[in-house]
Amino acid sequence: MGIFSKLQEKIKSAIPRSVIRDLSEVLKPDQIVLDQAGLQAFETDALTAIQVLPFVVVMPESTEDVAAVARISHKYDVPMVPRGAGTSLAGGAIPLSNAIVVCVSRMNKILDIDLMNRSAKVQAGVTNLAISAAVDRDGFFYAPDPSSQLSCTIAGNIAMNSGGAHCLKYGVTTHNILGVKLVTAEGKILEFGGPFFDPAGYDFLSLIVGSEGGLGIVTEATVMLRTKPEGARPLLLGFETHEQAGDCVAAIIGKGYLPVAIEFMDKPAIKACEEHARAGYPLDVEALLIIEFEGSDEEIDASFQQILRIASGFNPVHKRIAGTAEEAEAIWLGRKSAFGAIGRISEYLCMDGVIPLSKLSHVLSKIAEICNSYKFQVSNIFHAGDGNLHPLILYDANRTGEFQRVEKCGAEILELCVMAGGCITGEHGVGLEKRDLMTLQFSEADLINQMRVKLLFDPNWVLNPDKVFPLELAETFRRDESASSDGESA
Amino acid sequence: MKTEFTKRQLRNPDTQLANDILRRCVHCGLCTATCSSYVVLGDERDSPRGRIYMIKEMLETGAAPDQSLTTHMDRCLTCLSCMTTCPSGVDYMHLSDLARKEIETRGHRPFKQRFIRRLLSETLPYPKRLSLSLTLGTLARPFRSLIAKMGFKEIVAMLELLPKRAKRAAEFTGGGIARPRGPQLKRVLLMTGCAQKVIRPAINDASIRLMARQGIEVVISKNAGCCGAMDQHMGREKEAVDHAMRNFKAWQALEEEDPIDGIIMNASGCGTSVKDYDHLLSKQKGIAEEVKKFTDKVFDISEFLINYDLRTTEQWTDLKIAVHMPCSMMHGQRLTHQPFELLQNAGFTVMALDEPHICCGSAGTYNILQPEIATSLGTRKAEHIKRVKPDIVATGNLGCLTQMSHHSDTPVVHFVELLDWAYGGPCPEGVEHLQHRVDRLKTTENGN
Amino acid sequence: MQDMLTPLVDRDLKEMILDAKDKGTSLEILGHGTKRMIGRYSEKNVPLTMRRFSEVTLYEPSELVISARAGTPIIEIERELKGYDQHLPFEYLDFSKLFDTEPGYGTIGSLFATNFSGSRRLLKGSARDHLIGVKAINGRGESFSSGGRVMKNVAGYDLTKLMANSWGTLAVMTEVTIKLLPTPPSECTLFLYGLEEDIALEALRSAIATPYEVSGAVHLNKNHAFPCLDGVTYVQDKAVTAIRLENTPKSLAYRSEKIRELLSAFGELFYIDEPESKLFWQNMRQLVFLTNREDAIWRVSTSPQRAFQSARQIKKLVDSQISYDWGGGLLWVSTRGVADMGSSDIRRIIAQAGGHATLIYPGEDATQPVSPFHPLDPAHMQLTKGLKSMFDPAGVLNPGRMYDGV
Repeated sequence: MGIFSKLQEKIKSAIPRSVIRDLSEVLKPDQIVLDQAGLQAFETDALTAIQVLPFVVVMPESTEDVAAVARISHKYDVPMVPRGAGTSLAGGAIPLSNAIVVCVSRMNKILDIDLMNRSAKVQAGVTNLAISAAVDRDGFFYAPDPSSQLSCTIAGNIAMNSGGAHCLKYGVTTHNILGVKLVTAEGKILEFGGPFFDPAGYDFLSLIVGSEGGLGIVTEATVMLRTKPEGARPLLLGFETHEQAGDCVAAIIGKGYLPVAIEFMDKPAIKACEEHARAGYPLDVEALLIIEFEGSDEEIDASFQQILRIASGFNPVHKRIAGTAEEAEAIWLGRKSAFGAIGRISEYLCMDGVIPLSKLSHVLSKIAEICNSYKFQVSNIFHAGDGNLHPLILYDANRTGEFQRVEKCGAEILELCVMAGGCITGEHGVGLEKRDLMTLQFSEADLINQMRVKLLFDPNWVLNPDKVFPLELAETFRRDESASSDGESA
Repeated sequence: MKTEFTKRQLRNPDTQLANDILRRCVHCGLCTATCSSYVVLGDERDSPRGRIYMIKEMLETGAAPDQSLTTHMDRCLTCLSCMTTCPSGVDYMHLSDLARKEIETRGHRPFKQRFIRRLLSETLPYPKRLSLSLTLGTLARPFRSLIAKMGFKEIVAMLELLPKRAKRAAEFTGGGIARPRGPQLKRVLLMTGCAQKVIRPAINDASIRLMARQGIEVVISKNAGCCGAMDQHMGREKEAVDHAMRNFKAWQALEEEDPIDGIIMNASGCGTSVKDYDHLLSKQKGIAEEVKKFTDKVFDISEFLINYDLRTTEQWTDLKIAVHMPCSMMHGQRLTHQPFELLQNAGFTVMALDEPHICCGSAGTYNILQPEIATSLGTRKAEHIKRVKPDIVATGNLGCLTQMSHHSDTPVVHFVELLDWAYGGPCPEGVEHLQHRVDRLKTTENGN
Repeated sequence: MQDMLTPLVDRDLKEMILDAKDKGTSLEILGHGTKRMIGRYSEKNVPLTMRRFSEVTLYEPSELVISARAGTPIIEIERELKGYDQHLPFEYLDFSKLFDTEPGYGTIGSLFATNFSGSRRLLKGSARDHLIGVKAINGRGESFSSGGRVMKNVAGYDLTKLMANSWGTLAVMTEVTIKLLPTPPSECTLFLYGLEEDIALEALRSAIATPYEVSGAVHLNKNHAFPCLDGVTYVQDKAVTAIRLENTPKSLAYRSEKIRELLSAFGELFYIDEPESKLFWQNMRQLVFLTNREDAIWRVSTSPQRAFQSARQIKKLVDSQISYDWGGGLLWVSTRGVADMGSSDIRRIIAQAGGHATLIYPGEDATQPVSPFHPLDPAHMQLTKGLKSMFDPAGVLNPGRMYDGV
């Protein structure tokens, strides 16, 4: 047993009842979950293969509530696991048995919409889509659109630096956040950025976005709003092989066309999504591209003509242009529900590797090989425009040992992505799932430089402590750091 | 999602069904956002995903449902918004039915709760008892604060919801047949609901006139009664089955006289349940096929009428109608556009509300049993209504009608009442003040 | 001037850093020194130039990505990109006219270390937003890398973007990887003349709120307008409000017409075609309106909503000329004849409105030293010093360049 886990055990056995007492002094009874059945509802997120029953769940309603909880955590040295809507596919919100789960889902108010500034200030528990919905009438929207945007919170988006289908044009969360309010591990409230561009000094926002709750708990965010395009419609292109589809994507971008989104689905995915969304996807093709352009009707059609010309070199067997907003909506509903829709077929492990676009066809065939060697079926759904792959490895969760096997298969795929010049996660984050795979992509020095940042914000390592960094490495790092600081002070 | 049931557990058909449902769920969490209770409470345990997970744990361990599960199941409106959202096709409806049955049979409820639930179950479905209780209720209204002090907030909620003005008396009562004047095109059975008959009989009257005018023979069976939805939502499966069996027998009798083309529902809450009779009665031996034959021809009245070429409207009007789709229509029966189209064809200007997928808080007996949450939802809906400034709100279910009338200043009617009005019937109750904005067209053809 | 260190490869650089660390000296990290005038200067620091780290290491046009060693001249990168009709979309500022350095020089590393983005930042984001990978050596002499060559990458903490605007105080970047965009096929600009400032800002906001993807939205007062319009159009003695569109010629025709209609209430909109439009925005990027040597120059990032009021307050208290970029989100303030260059007033006013003011150039006659970077509040300063100590505990890299003790 390592120091870290020993420490955890020690804390757990000694979790003082006074933690609960202190919590009930600062929160209302309905903000605290203590009973077994209630806690179970929080024991996992969208990575259901791992479950850990937390020690207590709290549902703060304000930044001050969060700060008060953090002070209690600090006082007793009890870890905190922040949680938004619990939609992480990487296990980013999976509790620790000795942790206070800080669930911000009740902090769901939009505080201020400032159209003149093209920004909105929201509480962290507001869902991604709720922001766009609130400004839709005025012709604005919030750009990052993870497929779970209906339910995922801005808190979670910031933690994971979420992307989405349309980030090919609009960037990911880090490009669309102007400011945050952060509660630190000690319970201090800090603000970074604001309703203006490029804050002074070091870019702390870039650290906080994507830190998976490891630097503090974000309670408010100022997000950038953008003007809605006149219109947006997708074009569907079906191909007989994955390779043709992949090459077509590279050709489009290489020729200087940058659609708002280029999405890829393979046959099993097409079928499952069609069942849910009735979008009229072609069921007889091996690969489908959804390519979206924005602008006036004429502009969109002009772009489609260019794309069709390029695509004709790759033998598309199905071509359909969405004519109306309703058609477009159904097409996107299908794509955005893809992960859930695959649930109709089987349980799955969702990968999130990124590869350079030029390696697309090569990597796709390799993925098929790897899954084949494990005798797993794989369904590919991904953001092709930026090379962000989401192979879903289908497996039977009720069969013993299958999860371990599927994890291994997934690790091989991610290693392949890194070898190809890519990375292990493009938008879902590291969480628990890929924590031990970080060394595929990073050297020890890389990770140590990242961990130093965490140490600065979270000296006692209590904020979502078991995520992102390989446990042993984190233990060694902390031991060395504390030794060297002891050395200095001595 | 992974489940942990033993082979023995799975021999129980209910558990097997639950397992099949649970295996489809990938715990993605999309359902939380469109859940009517979660949007108000922001607590995972009050979301479909949280409930599904708690139900799973309860069924797997075989433990008796505890207080926590009971509380959070009770807060579920059964609006089924989650089922529309769910990309994996998780059958939350039947899973929640199972959970409620478990709670009812194996859980423990305090006496007060049991009393109220029993009271509702034995009053609402029976028109005569309901009539009587309304009279008593009106007498009790002045004593609301006293009752509240005694801790019966549910009864206070019930009293608050009572119709405040004298209702228009029913034109058609009891069983009977309305024959069209011209050639008879179809013969349908109209289920008249139980509470509806007492609280707003005009809905049935309008339905009868509207259909008869279109050449449809409308039959009302004396022997058909409550659909059983209320009992089912309270976990009282046996009572629900009894209601369903009685209706099934009434249909059989009618069908023997002269075949019927449709069983028409004008209370969509009931419609959702009746359409599901093949599931509810699946444990009854030897009737499965026949039940299915009937449930296949259960239609919401909007669903039925949309296939008719209703005659040209006889009115000219600038009235703006906001349509509130009851959850039972939108999610329970996946009807989305029918009332909009019918009203539009009848010459009204039709508008949608924001957050159409969120419940108004009525949800059967919910606004009585969970008054606080129901009020939040009712107020929320009223705000959406206010934003689009309609003259009238149209809906398709009595419960929503009562709930929204209570929370919104805009008059609320059933859409059949508006259709009936447009095609020659009387002006619906509660919107008489708008009558001057409707002109009858002088048409050459006059159907009546 | 001291001898300049000129490392060629990572190992040299590492040795120089460790050497300085051991000796307790410190280094001034430079590219070509084009932005040396900006920020604080410490004579103690031994200059080290990265200019020999010059090489494009990867260019994959079909992936919109380029990697280069940090000392590569920007013009060299742009030359490569031109062949494939791609560009650096954030329109980095070029200070050569301001500081009389060789035009177009500056290294790619210094571009990101200072993060000065131009007018297109409004639509396409900052330099920082396009930095997707770095290799660097920190003040402990450790090499590390972050990010990579793919556009989406959320593995671990984002040390890549942290390098932007860190002015070489945390680590010395040795290689950067940049996300590119296709160069828009054509552009045009619409000019409005002689608008009052508040009306002009309203016009810009209205233009930005359209769906037509305004990629430049500036308002120049009449003194600032004068040098920018030279060669663009006949010069009037009036303020100018400029709105840029970039797209295919057909779209431009459509979109500019739409904007003209929508903004017609603000006055006549003059259509400036491509070559002149390009020249105008190049003038903006080269800050030709700020080349008066006597003036102190402030670059102020603030909330567009409060921009006008802030500007009015500043002008009331300080003898100054103000122009706007980013639709009001960026103020260029030139002040004259004020002892502290207007620092205390400007910073107080901007702090109230939200944002920060950077002193780009103190003016020829500056006497009183003023902190070029906006002072941080104690909590942020503590974190800033903390971060510095994590990356460069001995204070080897550019100490004092940004703030005292950082």
